Amino acid sequence: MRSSIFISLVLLILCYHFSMAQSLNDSIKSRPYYANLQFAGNVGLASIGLGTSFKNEKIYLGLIYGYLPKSLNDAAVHTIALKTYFRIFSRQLFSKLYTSANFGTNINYGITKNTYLKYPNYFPDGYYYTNAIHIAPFLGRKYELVCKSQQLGISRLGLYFEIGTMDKYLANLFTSRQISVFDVFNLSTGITFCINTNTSFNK
Amino acid sequence: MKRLLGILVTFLLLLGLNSCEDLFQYSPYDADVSKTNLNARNIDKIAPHNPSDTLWFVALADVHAWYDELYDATLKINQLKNISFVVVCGDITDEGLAKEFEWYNSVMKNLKVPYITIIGNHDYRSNGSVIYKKMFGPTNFTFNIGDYHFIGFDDVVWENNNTLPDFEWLNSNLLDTTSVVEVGFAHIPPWSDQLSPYFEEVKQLINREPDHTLLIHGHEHNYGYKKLEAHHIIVGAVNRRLMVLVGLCDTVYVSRKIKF
Repeated sequence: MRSSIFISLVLLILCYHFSMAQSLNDSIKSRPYYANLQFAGNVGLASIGLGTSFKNEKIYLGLIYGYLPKSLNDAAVHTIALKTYFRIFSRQLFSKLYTSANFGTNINYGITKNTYLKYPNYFPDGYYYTNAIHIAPFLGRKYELVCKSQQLGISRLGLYFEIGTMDKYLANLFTSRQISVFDVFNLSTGITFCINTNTSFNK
Repeated sequence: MKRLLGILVTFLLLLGLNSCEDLFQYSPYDADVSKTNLNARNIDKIAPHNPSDTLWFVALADVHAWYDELYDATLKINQLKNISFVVVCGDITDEGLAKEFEWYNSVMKNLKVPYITIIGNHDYRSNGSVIYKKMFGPTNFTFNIGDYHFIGFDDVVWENNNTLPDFEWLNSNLLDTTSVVEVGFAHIPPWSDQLSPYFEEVKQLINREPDHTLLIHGHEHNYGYKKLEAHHIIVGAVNRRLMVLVGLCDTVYVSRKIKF
């Protein structure tokens, strides 16, 4: 069940929809900025992020704060992450609906019980590497609706999902036959708001 | 129409997936576990022991991320006869992550006999101690099989916020018995790095009846044996492909290294 779900999602992320135009051409008058809200994805039960894009929206860079409350599973976790991704492709589906596939990574700094950037003095030097920083690559798909709203200050509203993993899980996957490839991946979903109202799209 | 269908399929899939909780991971440091209280449940599954027979068990330690070797160990143990249970003397994970605890359990499910898990210093990292207590139970515990008394003792110091082990608990649970061998499992040997400042205090506790006390440890990754009044066996890490078979017969014990 888990394997078929992940295979389906990867295919979904990478498939081209039939589109009205061959590619998305942006006419960006000024750099777009994004805000996003995310559920899950190695950064918390919920997270908020702010970011911007470069090179005609082909590269994204953002900062995330996520929180997992102790009331859920007895462990409170704060996460600060740097997020970056590259756009694999983008397509225009309808006059105001666009889709894109992305590949990127988070660099997560997790703050919880017994995670350290630098271990306390009672540990001998070099006893452990830091367990607070992890690299979490992902593959994602986004659908964006152009909805220029002067009142809300947003020009696009998006919905996305990502299939992600973590450096430690990948290392275990490559060193052990006992771990299934589908057991090292997990999902996240979220919404994005493009908050630069000067952005417009040309077909 | 096809575009619309494609988009509809995507959203329905996402809607459906939101109900599949185990597909979403909130954080690698989360303490969500699929099984609870495993030590007590597995101890209940240990078959009753005939007092006239030798009680056999197998000791492993320091699994970390050597799941292939651990799996091979379970295959070997399943070939052995008359094994009552298996004990893993700590460090079943590397970073104390919930995923690592689950992977350990999924390999150990291959065993045909019950297994008991002791906490190690690596298992305390991140939220590992929270996860261990939910998944396995208290870090200090005792159980009896027939007349034999077993102790699982948490002697982790540094990773437990540099906190002293609960020597009072150990003192009150060690039996002053000479009728049978008493067996204790503790990940860190008393002479080892974290416990060496408290070595004399520990020695006084465990050497009340030294000829009837067998202590089994991990942590050092190499097999070893020491008689410091009481008897100490150090089980090697699973990647050394050695396990220790222990047999208890009243006041006598035997032990043998087995390659797998």
